[in-house]
Amino acid sequence: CGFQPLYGGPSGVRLDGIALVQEGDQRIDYLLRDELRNSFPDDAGRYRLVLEPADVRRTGSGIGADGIATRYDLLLTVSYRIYEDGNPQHVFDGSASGAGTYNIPIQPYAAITSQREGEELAARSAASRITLQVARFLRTREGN
Amino acid sequence: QIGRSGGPLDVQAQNMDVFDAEGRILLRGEVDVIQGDTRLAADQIEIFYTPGGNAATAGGFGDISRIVATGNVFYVTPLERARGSNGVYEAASDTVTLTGNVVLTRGENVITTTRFVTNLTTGNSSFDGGESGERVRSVLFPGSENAGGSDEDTNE
Amino acid sequence: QETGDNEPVYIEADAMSEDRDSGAYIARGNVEARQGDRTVTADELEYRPETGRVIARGNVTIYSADAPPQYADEVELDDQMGSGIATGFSTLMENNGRAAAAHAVRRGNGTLELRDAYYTACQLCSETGHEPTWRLRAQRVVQDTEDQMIYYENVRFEALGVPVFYAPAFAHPDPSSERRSGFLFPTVGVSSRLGLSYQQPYYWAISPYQDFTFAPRVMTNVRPILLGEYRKRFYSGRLGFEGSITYEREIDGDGNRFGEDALRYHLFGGGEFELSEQWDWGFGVQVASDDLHLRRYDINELYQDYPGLVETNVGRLTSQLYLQGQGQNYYAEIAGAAFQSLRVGENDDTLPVVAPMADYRTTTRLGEHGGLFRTRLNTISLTRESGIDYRRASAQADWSARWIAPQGIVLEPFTFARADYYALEDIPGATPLDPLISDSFGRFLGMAGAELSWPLYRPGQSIGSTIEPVIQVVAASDDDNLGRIPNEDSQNVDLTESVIFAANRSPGYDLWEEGLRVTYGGRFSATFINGNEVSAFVGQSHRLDGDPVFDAGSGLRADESDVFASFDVDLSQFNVSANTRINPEYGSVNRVNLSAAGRYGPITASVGYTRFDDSQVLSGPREEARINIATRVTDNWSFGYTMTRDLENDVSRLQTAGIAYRDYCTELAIIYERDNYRRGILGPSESIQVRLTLFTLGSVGSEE
Repeated sequence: CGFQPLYGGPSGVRLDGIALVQEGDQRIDYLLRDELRNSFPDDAGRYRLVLEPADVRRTGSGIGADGIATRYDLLLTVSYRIYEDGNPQHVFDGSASGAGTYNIPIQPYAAITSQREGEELAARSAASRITLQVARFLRTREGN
Repeated sequence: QIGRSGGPLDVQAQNMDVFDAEGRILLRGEVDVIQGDTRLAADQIEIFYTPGGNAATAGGFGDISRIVATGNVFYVTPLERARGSNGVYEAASDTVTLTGNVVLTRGENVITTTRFVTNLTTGNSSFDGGESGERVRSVLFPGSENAGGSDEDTNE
Repeated sequence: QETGDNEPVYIEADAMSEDRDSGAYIARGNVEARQGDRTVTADELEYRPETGRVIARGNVTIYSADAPPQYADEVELDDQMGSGIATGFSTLMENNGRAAAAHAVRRGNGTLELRDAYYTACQLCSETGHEPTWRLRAQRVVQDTEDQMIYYENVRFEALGVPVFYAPAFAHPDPSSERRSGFLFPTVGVSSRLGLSYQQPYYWAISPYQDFTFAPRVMTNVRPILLGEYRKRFYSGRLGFEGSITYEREIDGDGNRFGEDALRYHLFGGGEFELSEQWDWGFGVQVASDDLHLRRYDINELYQDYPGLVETNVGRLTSQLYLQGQGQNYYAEIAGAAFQSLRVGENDDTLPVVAPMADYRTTTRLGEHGGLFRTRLNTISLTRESGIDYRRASAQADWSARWIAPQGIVLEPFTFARADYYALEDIPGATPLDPLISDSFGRFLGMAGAELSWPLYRPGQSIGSTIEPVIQVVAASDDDNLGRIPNEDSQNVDLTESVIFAANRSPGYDLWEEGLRVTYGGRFSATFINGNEVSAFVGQSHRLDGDPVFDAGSGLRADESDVFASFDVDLSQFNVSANTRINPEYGSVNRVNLSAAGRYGPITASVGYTRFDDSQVLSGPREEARINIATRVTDNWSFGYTMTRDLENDVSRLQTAGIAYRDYCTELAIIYERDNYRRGILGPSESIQVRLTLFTLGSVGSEE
């Protein structure tokens, strides 16, 4: 039914030769890049994937009688641009998001770890979306 | 008369034809008419006068009603120098009118216009675009003396 | 500026004449006169070279290099066309301020004095055909360019041409000046608790990098309260504080005062400073005199620009100090935090002081296809007045890689090893009579596993779609210390798409998921040429061996975990995302989470709905809906409504409705808010707030 392996076969895409560059300097940016380092192993190559600083938004929900949010919906959005060697203009720009909800337990330290886990998981799902989008872009770009 | 001071006309030209019956004198070739401190020069000047004036008083020409100058017309007074492609003196309105790319200088002040009319009795003058609608352009320096009546400042 | 006094004057016109007696040149018809950097255009202009005086009549416009154009019916200017007198004068000012006057006199030093004048930032009647929204009309107005102020004498404030307010004198900064000290626009409101309130902020620009806003608020039900905000920017960072203080008794929901007088205050603050390219440190302070102070005076508990590693939550004041560093291959942080509870009935002593909380991570690449080797050192110490003192130190190493096997199968193996050391004190015995004991021990944990996925792609002209089946196998060592460790950092685990395929599904260190498990699922996504995208995910986990560690509400307790499914549609004008957890045994829905947002013409709306089933241990409501609507009624008027409804108890927790008017020079917002909270004696409350801003007349950042 027309489906071919994205990474294998004659027209398979290879993700090496893409250098990962991170512009943000916050904790979330480090986590995002760390998650992508397996998909984009090289530090130099024909392409450069530049990650702009990630934006994290929290909206409280599950508001009970005391007006205190017991759950947070977290939305991480990150934009990125792909450059090819010798071409100052970017050849592709996209954005990916990672969503997550985490509960806020009563104990403050548990709330800290719950929130940080939420960020880490959102970074992981955004990273897997970026990997898929970049692979699809290379697939269409290399014309197969 | 073409200048404010009146007085006899001193006329020079390469050649001169007098059509006394029509009361017209045609001067051609580097024509230069001087009256007192005012001078009118052009390639060709026609002077119209009322015929039959007594020759003795007006140097033989009677009263001048109109002067028409064409080609490189220059009108020079102690106050200003004006240049145009043609000029007309009308005795009835006692005005001199220069037309066609008129450039007028008064000391450092310069005015360019299409038509320049100066009234010899009042001393006022006006500049406008005439039919061409061309704009009047001027450069005036503050403090430049051209108030009326100060004749001694001749700026040749 | 003195242009040379013999600077020539260029005059151009349709016609000119010269009056010999007065020595004046009179130009008529689209006159344009230029001297130095000043230009005057008018229907008629009279110029006397001898004295240099210029008189312009009819549609006069004066353009000068350093000020916006000025208009007048008739103007008489001195030789440099500088100072002079004008009638029927009007001028445009920077940032769209406009002043007009019957007579105007411009002094040599540029000061402009207007007689019978008015000032507005709105478009003039000539531009819009109707009265400007507001206007200041005064007998005498002086624009002083030295101290960049505009002074008015007996001034009337007119709204839509109707005089509304009179003052003998008034002044405001010249719109062209940058930050100036001065009064900002007041906020007026009424609330069921505080009665009528008027808050008048005064903005003091101490220096180019420092300012202090001082806003006393007067209320009918209670004594006035002083609010203030101080901000300072350094070369390497910034610092900010916000606070309030009053001396008052307590009040109940309806504004009746009781209890005795006390000093009631709050202080929020923080700072962030850069030590080097990679390292920075900061601190955050949140203190309040009593639990209900903030809610009593409607002060926002979340301080927006609160720096710091630890996010604050409603009902929990957090003070912290942190140091953070990051490089290409490492991340490090060390922080300390203390908490103050605003929840009624919660004893602060049970809240721990979290100090130190340290984390140091490194990532190194092992060659082209060698994968990643990560190390992590982490320690935490929780000290409580009453309750367990909990200290842990952990060292962890993991390796993971991503290989592409033939046929495009993606193989991601990983292994993980960790050593924890716990030191616990004040552990209560079985019964309250037993003495407190302490315990310290270490443990070693390990895990190995692999994830196999086979992303398939079908390119199409208009739709590119991907299917990605995934299967993951994890084997983790047993942990027989389960009973000895108080669960401090893994209290709420909630099955979602990113949790189900995580190698270590516990959010913290205390809980360790042992045994053998297999997780399987699939992702599908289709992207259209115009960027729209539809995607779906489904996944489930199956524990083959090992005891469950997560609680019942996590969806991961039973050997057959809940089935997690999510569906997202992202069109340009409209997007929906929904996810749910289904209990495999009975097919019952454990959780539904739905959110949709869309734009249709002028209306933008978003809806959120969440429902949990009863088995969940939850402090919040089981079923909740959130609605948010905003629409533009006319070019200037817009309306917004938000509501959060607790469907379990069938009560609207928070509703806000607001109308806003915004035009070229004015912004008016009227916001009604009604909440249904109860914290101690402070029950539900209603309030209306009115906020008016007239551009250029003293408002912080309203022009952008």
